[in-house]
Amino acid sequence: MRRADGFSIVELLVASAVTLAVVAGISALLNPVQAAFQSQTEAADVEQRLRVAAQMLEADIAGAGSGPDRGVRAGPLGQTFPPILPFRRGSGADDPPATAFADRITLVSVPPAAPSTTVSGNGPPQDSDWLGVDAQPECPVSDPLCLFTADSAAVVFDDSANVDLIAITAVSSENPTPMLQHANQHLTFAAYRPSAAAVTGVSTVSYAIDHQASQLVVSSGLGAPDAPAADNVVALSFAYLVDPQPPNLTTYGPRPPPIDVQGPSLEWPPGENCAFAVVAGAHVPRLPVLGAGSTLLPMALAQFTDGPWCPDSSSTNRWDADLLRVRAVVVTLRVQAAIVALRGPAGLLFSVAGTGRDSNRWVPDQEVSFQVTPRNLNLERVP
Amino acid sequence: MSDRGFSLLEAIVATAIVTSGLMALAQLTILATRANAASRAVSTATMLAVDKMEQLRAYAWTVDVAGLPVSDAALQSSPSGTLDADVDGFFDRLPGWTRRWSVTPLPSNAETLVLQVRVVGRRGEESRLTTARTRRAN
Repeated sequence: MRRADGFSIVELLVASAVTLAVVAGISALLNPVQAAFQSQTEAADVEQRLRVAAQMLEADIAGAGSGPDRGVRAGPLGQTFPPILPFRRGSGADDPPATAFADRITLVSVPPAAPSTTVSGNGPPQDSDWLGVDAQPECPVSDPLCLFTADSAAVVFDDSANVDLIAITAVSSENPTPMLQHANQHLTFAAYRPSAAAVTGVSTVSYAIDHQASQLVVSSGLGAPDAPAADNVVALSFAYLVDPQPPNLTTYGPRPPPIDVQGPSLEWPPGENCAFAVVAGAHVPRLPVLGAGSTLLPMALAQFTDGPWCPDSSSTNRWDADLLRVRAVVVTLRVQAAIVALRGPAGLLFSVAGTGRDSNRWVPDQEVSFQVTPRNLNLERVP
Repeated sequence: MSDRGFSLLEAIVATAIVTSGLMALAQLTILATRANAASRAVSTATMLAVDKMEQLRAYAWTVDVAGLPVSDAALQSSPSGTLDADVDGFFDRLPGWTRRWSVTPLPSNAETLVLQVRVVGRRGEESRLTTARTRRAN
């Protein structure tokens, strides 16, 4: 026989108490588990973005300044012009001359086995679209510029502090003077010395931060548009460590003309250039000694916009002579969580405020600061 | 078959089983959080070690125009054990981390330095890097 009197009140109470206990336990777990599920994946993502961005910057800065491995100007680029610039040059969004920014950097390097030759004296005038160059020694007579290609970039420089970055638009191998076309980009200097000025394949990379989109942007290659390199980067800054010793005749820096000989720029008196002055009939460094020994010292950004200007203060391609002293870069990088709900109010933890109220769910910004010492800028140093 | 439903004891046992299962699940999220924190610690340690290594690379270790060696005082050979204990001049402290390094010339060629950096965190997280530096890279 079935009983038909249902549950007693005590049974009902006990059953509801047990059910409640179980449900309470589950729901108490649910919230933190969901929070962890959301925030931990994002935290790992933040870490990953930071690592990728840091490694990109580190690799490019460490390689800056590598020069041609052969030819008249073989050796590190830092001997004659600065391969690390605190502004954008050669990118699709160049900065005007005589500026410096803490959150922008341009890195110039010559890749391994880049094509290399010299300016020829037989070519058309240097202020035209075509640059006459000498045949590459390693190329066959029928194809004297075998390693140069259209749509590549080249750097033209000699030891007089003049330097030009050109995008090659066509290669002419016609004898007697092979030529490289760089249409619509006139050289800023039109008196490169034949056989002494190098023309070498080059790689330029410039980094900047797009504050609007919170992106680290990179432009690799001459005139290349910005491409995002890492998302949710909220701060980027570069600080510079410099050689306390100024360029002198036996170390680095553009070579001055001989005493009493007028150099290519009329702004400097005979025998002088942007890095060297003449005192009592002898070349002396124009830049001051900043300290004893060889320990690198920090230099403020303002020092990179106050001259002396190389090659002179009227060149549109000018750079501050102090940039020649740069030996190491300190990079600071800050990355935030992509999801607004995982960021709290702006302050110490967050650069850009989010909507998250529950601090259990916050994924704070990650910031790193690290030094990079470009190998090619530290080969030769004199205390 | 009994048609009297579950006894209280049965219900409690069942609840206990469900709870232990849930606890195991909760443990997973704690594990994931810990693994995340550990990987962040190792990343940080490595970054700090790289930073120190780059500082060591910035000291002059080269030759001058006359071909004579130029060596920064900071690159003098370190005593033994600088990686395992704090020795003046071969360690620094950063919030939460201790960095120690050593500079040892190669036994067969004193012109080549072996640089080592070890970064140790409060909870024993660590990263260790080793590199060689020659007088001239070319």
